[in-house]
Amino acid sequence: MSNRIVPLSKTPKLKQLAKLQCNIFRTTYNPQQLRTEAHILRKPLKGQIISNYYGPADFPTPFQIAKLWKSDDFRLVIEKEDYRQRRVNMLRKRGKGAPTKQKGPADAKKKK
Amino acid sequence: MSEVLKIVKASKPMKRFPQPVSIPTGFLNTRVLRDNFKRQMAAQYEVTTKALKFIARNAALPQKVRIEAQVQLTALPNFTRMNQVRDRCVESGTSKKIIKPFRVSRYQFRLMARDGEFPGVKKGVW
Amino acid sequence: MLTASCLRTARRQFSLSARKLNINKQLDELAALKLQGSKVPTVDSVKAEKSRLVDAFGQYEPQVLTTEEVLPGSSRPLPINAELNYYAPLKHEVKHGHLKAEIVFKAFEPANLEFIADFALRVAYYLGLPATGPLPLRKRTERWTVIKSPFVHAKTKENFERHTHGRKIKIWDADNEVIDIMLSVLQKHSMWGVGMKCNMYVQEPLGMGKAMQKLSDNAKQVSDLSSTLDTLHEESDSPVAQKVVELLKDPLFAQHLTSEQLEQVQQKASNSD
Repeated sequence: MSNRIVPLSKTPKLKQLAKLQCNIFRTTYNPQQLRTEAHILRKPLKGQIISNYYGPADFPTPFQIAKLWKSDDFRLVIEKEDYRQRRVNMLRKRGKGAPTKQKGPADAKKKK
Repeated sequence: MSEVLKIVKASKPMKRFPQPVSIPTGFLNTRVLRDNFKRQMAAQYEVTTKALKFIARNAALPQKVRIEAQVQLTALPNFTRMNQVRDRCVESGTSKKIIKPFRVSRYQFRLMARDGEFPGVKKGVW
Repeated sequence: MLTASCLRTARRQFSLSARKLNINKQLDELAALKLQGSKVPTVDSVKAEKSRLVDAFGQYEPQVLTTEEVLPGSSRPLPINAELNYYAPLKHEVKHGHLKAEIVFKAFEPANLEFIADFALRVAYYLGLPATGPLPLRKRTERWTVIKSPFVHAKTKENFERHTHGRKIKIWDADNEVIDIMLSVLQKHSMWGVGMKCNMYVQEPLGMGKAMQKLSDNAKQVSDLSSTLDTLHEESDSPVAQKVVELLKDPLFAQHLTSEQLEQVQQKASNSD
């Protein structure tokens, strides 16, 4: 492009030449150099990849799996949950556990 | 696994967002949930946004149609835009220093790589 | 474990000796012998058939390179095709030099990769495909340097790295269907941690130019709505193009179009349907 002094679309003869060139090499003839944005149609969609970033949705959690295969002679242990349970029990035995939830409505705020 | 998935009841779509989306499994965090919502919406509206963009930027189309498309494009809510999504750590939810091929932050990457979670990754010696 | 250079020299030496012994001819003879041996006359009782089968097997005299190797538990020697597994894979000669396929294996560990490349060459030999390789590809090294601590203390860091090794096998002068068979065999016996990729090359038959003449004479011209509709029609597979046509027909956008333009849009849309 740079070494061409007169642009192909300036004079009528050169215009014809440009059109012929486009016909031969199967390129788009765009004398006014308009924006067509055809690349938007051709680019692959990336929504699928973007929405799957955090892995499959509604994949069964350990709790759900443990519930599925629950039976008398077979017990699935969820290590994290097991550790939490044992820790809470130990704290309760020592009297350091969380206080029990109050059943009744909370008392009205005392005025100062 | 697909049979199991059928048996397990799908979690309820969240009501805190303008449109209901499914919840990801794994580490959850307010920011992760928000980003997940944006991702779902961006994917859902991708075709519409691109079509509107095509109409608005195409100089061969009538001017009024192009302006109308641009107005529609700007009227879409922010959560439908692709540039609103941010890569977050799958393990801890932080958004800083994410190592892209593994989708985890630097510290989680170090822990997991030391445990041999990523095939082929080992301590660098050279 | 043998080193790569050792393997390479062994392969070269063996291919030389194989050429001297004319192994291909021997294998052909062997196949013919096997066919002779398997011809069993039909008999009514199953027992007799079985015994004759055993007899037929007794006639089978496999040719061997070395006489020392005898299968344990029997007096029969090791068959030649079983014995070949101890040597580098045989290769057919490349005659015409038409590259047909490039199979690339990639893995993080070289051990499995060596094995599968070797296996692929054997598969190619027994399918009658001339193959060359395995050509080791350049090792790709990825490195990550991360701060050791979860918060601040950025002076202490830890390095991690991952090497990706590759082997390339080229297949020449072959039919695409046979290559498909080879690929399905490789896929069936694929190994853990080894990825496979194949670039296939197809040669067009003579008379390609005639087919090209069928294309429309005039190049596309960008000017107005109709040219845009043409491009939309060409890209009608893409969901975005479908959506654009749908939007243009929508009353929201149709109100800005003249009746002629709207007609054009509807006509094109009906054509694409």
